[in-house]
Amino acid sequence: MGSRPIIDRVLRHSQAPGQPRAQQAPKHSKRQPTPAPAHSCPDCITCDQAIFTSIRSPTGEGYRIVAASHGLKGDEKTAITRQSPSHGGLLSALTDATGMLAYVLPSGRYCISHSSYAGTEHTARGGQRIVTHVVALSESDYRYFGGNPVRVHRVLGKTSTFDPATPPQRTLEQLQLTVDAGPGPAPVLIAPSAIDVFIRLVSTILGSGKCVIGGVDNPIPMLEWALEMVPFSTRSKVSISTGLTFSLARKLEFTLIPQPGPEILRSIKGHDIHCRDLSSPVDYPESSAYREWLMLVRQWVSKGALQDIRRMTACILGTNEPEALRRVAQLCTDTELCRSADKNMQDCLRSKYSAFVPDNDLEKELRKKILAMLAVDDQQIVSAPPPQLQQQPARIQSPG
Amino acid sequence: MATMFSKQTKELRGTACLICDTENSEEAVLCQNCAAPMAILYDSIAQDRAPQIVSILGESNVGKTIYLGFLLDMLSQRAGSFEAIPKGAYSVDLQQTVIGHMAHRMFPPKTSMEPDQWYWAYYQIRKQQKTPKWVDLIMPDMAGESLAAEIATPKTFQVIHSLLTQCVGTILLIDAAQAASGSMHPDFFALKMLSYMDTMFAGNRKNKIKSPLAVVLCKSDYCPEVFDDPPAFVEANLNRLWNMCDSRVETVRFFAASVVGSLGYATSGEMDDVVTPIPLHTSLQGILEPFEWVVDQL
Repeated sequence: MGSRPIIDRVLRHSQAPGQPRAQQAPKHSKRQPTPAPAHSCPDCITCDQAIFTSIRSPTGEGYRIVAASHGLKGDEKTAITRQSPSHGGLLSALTDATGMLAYVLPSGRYCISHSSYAGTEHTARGGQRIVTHVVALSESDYRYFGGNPVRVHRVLGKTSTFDPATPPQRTLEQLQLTVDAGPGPAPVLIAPSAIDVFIRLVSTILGSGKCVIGGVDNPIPMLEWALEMVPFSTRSKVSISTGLTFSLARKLEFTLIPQPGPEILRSIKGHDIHCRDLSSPVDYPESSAYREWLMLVRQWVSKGALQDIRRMTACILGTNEPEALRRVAQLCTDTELCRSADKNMQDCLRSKYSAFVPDNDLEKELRKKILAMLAVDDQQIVSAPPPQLQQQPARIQSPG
Repeated sequence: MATMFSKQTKELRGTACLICDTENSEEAVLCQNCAAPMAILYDSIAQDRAPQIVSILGESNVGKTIYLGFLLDMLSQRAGSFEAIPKGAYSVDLQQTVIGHMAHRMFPPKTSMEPDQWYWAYYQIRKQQKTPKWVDLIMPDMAGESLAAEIATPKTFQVIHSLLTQCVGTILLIDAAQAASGSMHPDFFALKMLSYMDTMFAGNRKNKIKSPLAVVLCKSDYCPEVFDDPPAFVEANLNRLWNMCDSRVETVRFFAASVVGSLGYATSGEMDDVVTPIPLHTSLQGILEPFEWVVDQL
C-alpha cells in the first residue's frame, strides 16, 4: 500500500467531511464550493425529527406523522408523508427487521429515516405496525456523518424508542443525535465475487440513472462502504432505500432489494429505471467516466485498503467528480508506478508532474510524494508552474 | 365543476395518463407521475368510450376495501339485474383478495399508502332494462391515510387530486358504529372531506358540488337502527356532515350498509395481546344500493 502515508499526511493538513475530529478546514478553491465546518465536531448535533406510524388517537387513525418537532416545515412534512413506508413497507417480516430511506427534502435539508416494527397493527387487518423515525439534517450537520445516510441510520436506530402503548406528544423536542466515530466495520471482501458485487455497487452509485439493485448480501455494510467510495457531493445527495419494498411513487434513485421479482420488473417498465442484479456473473457496463477510479478502488479493495480510499474521497470536494476522481486515480497509479519505473519512465513522470497543476490538497500531496520519490529537488516541487501552464485548464499535462 | 366530466369529452391519447394526463412511454405499466395503471387508458381506448370515475372515499379502517371488493363481486354475479364485465385481470384482483380473505375468516390486509400498490378496477356495467346503456367505470381502492394526507395538504398525493377532479360520482363511507358510540371523529373526517371537495369542485358559494354523493353508513350491524332511517341517523349523530350536505351538495342520499354477519374475537396470548376481530360469516346488506343510485344519476 504505497500511498497510505500520503493519505495520512493529507489528513493531517486538512479536515474532510466525515472526519469529525480534524481541526482545520481544507483550502477553499473554485472547485471546493462547500468547505467542511471549521469548528471541531461536537459529540452530538441537534436536528428536527418526526415519527411516522399508525396509532389511534383522538384526531385520527392510520399512518401519518404522529409527532414532529417545531422546525419541520409544511412542505417537508408533506414529503415525509409521501415517502415514508406504510403497511407492508418493510421487506422482511422478522420482528427485528429495519429499513433505511434517505432523500433530499424540498427545503434542501437531508432526510434520513429508520423504519422498524413496533408490535402488531392495531386494526384487525393483520401484519405488524411500522414506525419510522425521521430526521432532517442541514448540510453542515450531515457533514459530521460524512454525508453517509447509513451512519445516520445506525445512530438513529439506537436512539429510537417508540412504544405504541405510550405514544409521544404531538410536538417533539429537537433530537440530540450522537455523532458517531466513523463508518461501521467494513464488509468482508475477500472472495472475488464479493469484490465484484462491491465494485458494481460503487459503479452503480456513481453512474447516472435510477436503479433497482438486487443481489447484494448484507446490504447495510456494503452500502455504507460503497457510499464511502464516492465523493461527498454524490454521497450526500443520493436518494436511496434499503430494507423497504420498492415503490415507484417514491421516485428514488436507488432501491436495494434482495432480488427484483416480476412485479417490480413490470412496474418499472418504460420509466427509465434500470434493474441490476449485482451478483450476476454477467458483466454490465461500468460507467466509462469513472473507469480509472473504479479500477483503483478494485485494486485497493483487493488489498484491504477501504479506509484509505475513504480518506481520499473525503478530501475530494469539487463538483466535477468524474474528472476529480480520474485525476486522483491517475496520481495514485503513478505513485505505484514510481516504485518500478526505469530511467526513461522516471524522466517521463518527472516531466509530467513538474508541470502538473494540483486542484486540491490531496492532489498537491500526491504530486509532492511522486516528485519526492523521483528525487526531484524540493525547490522545483514547490515553485509555481510556468505562466503558460497556469493558464491552461487544470488537468494532467502530457509529458510530451 | 369546471374540470368534472372533462374526460367524457376529451379525446383519449395513446400515452397520456387517464388520471393525470402525464405523457408516458408506450412501455409504461404505471404512470410516471401518479402511478395509476396505464392499462385503464389502453382499455378505454379499446372501448372507444371515455370511462367515468366513481370514487370510494372514507377514512382509514372504515371498510373501503371490503365494500369495494364485495360490490365488484356482487356486480360480477349479476346482482340487482346488473351485468358487469371486468376489463383486465387487474380489475378482478381486489374482489379476489377480499372474498378470499373473508372466506378464510380474515379481514383483507390494509391498503398501503403508496399509490402504485393500490388496486384499480375497470368495469363495463349495464343494467338489464329496456334500453340498456353501457357505462365504463373506474374505481380505485385508495388508502384512507393517503386520503387524509391529501385532505390535510392538497396535492400531497397527486393521484387523489387528479382522480377527484374527474370523478362523476362519489361514495363516501362513514363508520356508523363509531358515530353511534358518540365519537365525533367520523363527523369531522366527513366534514373535512366535503370541504375539500367543495373547494375543488364548487369554487364559490353560488355553486354546489354537482356530482352525486352517496353517503354510506358502514358497519351498521353494530347499530341496526341505522337501517330504519339513515338520514335521521346522520342528522342526529353526524350533524356537521348533514349540514354540509344540505348547504353544499346538490344531489345526496344516505344509505346504511354492513358486511359482517357476526364477529368473534381472538387474542394472540403474547405480550402485546392485541384483540383481533374474526369475521365469522358475511351477511351483506346495503352494498349495491348506493352504487345503483350513483349509476342512475349518471
